[in-house]
Amino acid sequence: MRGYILKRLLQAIPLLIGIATITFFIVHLAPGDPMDMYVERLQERRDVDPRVIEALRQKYGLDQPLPVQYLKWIGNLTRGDLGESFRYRRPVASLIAERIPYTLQLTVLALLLDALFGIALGIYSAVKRYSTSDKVITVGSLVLYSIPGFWLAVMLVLVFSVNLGWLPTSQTRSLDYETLSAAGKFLDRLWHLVLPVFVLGVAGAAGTARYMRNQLLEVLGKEYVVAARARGLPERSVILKHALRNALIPIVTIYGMALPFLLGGAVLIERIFAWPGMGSLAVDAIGARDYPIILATSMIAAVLVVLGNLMADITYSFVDPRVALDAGRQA
Amino acid sequence: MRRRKVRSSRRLLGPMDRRRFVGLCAGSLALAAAGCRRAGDPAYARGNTLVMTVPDANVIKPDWYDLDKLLFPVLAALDDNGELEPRLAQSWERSADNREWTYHLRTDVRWSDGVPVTAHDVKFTLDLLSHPDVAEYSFESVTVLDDYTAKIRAASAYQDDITYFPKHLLERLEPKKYYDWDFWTHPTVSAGPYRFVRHLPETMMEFEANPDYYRGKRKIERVVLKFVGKAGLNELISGNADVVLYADATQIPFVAKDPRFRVYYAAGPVAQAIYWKCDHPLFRDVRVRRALTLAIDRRALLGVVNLPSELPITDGVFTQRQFRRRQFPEPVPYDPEQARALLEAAGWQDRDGDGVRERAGRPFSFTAIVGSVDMQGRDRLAVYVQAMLRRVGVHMNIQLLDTSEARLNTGDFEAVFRNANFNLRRLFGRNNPLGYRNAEVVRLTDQLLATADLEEADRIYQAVTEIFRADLPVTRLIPNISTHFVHRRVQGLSTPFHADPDTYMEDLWLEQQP
Repeated sequence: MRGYILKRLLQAIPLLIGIATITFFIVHLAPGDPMDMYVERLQERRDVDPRVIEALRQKYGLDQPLPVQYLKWIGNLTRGDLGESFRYRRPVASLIAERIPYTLQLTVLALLLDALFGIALGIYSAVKRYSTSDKVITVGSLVLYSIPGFWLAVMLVLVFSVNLGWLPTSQTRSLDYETLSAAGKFLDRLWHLVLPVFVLGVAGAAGTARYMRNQLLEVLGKEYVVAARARGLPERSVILKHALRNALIPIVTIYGMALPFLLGGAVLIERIFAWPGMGSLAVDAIGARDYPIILATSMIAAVLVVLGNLMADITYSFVDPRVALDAGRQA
Repeated sequence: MRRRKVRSSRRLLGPMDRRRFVGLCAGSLALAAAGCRRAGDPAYARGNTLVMTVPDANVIKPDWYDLDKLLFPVLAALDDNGELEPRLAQSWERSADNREWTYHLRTDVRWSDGVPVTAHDVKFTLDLLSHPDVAEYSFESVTVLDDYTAKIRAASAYQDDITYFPKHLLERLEPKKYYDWDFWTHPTVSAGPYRFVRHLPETMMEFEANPDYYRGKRKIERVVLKFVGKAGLNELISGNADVVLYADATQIPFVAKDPRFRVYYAAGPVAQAIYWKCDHPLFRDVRVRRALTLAIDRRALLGVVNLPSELPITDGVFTQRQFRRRQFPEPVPYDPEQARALLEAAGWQDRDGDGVRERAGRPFSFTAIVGSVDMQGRDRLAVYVQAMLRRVGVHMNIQLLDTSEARLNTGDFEAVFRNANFNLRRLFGRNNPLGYRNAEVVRLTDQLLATADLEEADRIYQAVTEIFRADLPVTRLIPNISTHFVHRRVQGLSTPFHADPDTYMEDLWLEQQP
């Protein structure tokens, strides 16, 4: 197993260098100077001395030829230096480090909601196939899956925050957060997470429930399940030990690929709830042509996709004993 | 088989499990209910506390807003007539060449830790802002003549709009990490109308009125800045905020009809405009550019982006001072009939009756690039302009592009919709990318470069305005507006020159409501 992981990680290095190179040049393909946008924003407030613009270009190496900029950037990247944001004028690593905890709070909980409710409802729906509760879950999950997240978010804010005043409209904590006890702080954080996590997780849960139901129904019709029942095994054991493990294999792939989402965040939900996450950082950077942030977030996404695939492959071997990771033992 | 499945599922989720499940749900609801102990933070938006939502958590640096003025002193400030009025500087003189300003500071101003504010703080700040690692300004020299007199030599015309920082606290910090200094989130020493109370990362900053402020304690006791990105409107209508700073203009109709709130619009010399490629065969003839301008109903465009019709529509270029004094001429009028006549006179006629004019077999059709970054309704303006031009027989294609600035700078365009900040030297000087050739304008822009005299700069802008009104290399559409949603209890703002709550915070007060 260790050898397999090492081999996959080594294989990932040229892939990541390729992604870094392509991303760098694609981002720089757009004509014009990225400093223009920064300067233009400044010029709306005051006259900007041309010498200031020149000093900024020099500071960020934008006066250098593109290959030189590339070598400098890739060199810094290998040392873990992600550069300095043009827009915030701060190290990109600091900006990302500030956003990641908020993003993880949101995405991990949303993913948990998705997995727990999605898988549980999927199993329940499959086991109670064609019952009233199955129909309710099927229709409910289709409806929730179809509702756009941003619309649901706005509606929930209008109902639960603006009209009823039960939940906060935005942000990650209350203004009097510092005065609360430890338990109060914990509850305050949860209170602010209710709406964004629900909105972010509910569509995923609905999708997972549908997927889980179909997978389980397919597996329940397999001969080994019939055989297990014929052997007189308890139904709970048939479902959980024999059917579920096999039905979970495609679901594992889905969750493996969810790793980039964990750090990538969700732009619209972050916008609506003023959640200071990675998604809005990346999208704002694209709008402002903030190359260092665009490149850093793209690289993080690339690394996470590679790791997500690897994790999914490793998880297969736990879920399905037929899958052997070492090439010599492939079933 | 089906019955068996149902039965077996009962075993899977037996009565005990269901009870557990219901218990779990009840527990979750109880937890949520415990969390729902209050609705938002309305207590902060009452009494003599003003809560203002800010789109960005970096409120002090980079200085995209004027919120640094809550804490740090300025030498002078522009009044509503565009004149400088004393603040930290009680008087000043300008040298003969107008590049050198000597400021005489008040001697009674102290930082909140008791240290006097002196000319050394002025020099420290300007040197810091000119440092290559900071690169916000570029001053030739700053000299301390005595503790309360500073001489500043600027490279070109400059109007001091800088906030000054405490040297004794910051001089040991590295300029390289300037934007990462903790001081910007915890400005514990200040000398402005407010002083720092606390900061919750990514959430808020709180200030209280400075009782020792040299202009007297301000009327609003506490100011809370909430960092809510684009969610300001929800905070306002939930009663959690009094002011939405730099609000989204698309939300104006919703707020304008609510009697609890007022909408303030801050206007300046910057405008949304169409830059014409003046050496392009379509736009080379000044009659054509005039016809296109005459064909656009610019006052109607205000309504397109939800702005009030009383905002100034004008043509030309202005300094901030001229704009505030309303020293700008009437705009070229909306007159589609005259537009048609001018196009006819220029040889553009619709001979085939397809609604688009032709000349020498070539239809009057062009592509306008519309800058898609920070659009502020520019895309909607373009669609309406397209329809207005169609009425006079001109076909305009719209191309949304986020690199419009680059296309403008390289001259690779036919027409561009952009914010016009009218950088005269860059856009209209020698070899300008618009292909606009006017020796008098080049002479005037050179003259502008050589002067630091604000009066002379005004005269130059006025002369250029006269030429532009005749030549129309650019058609100004509507002024660029900052929009703020404000609860009616907040007093002291007015449209269009005293409308920014961050700039005029120290002049505001709260009407106490029953």
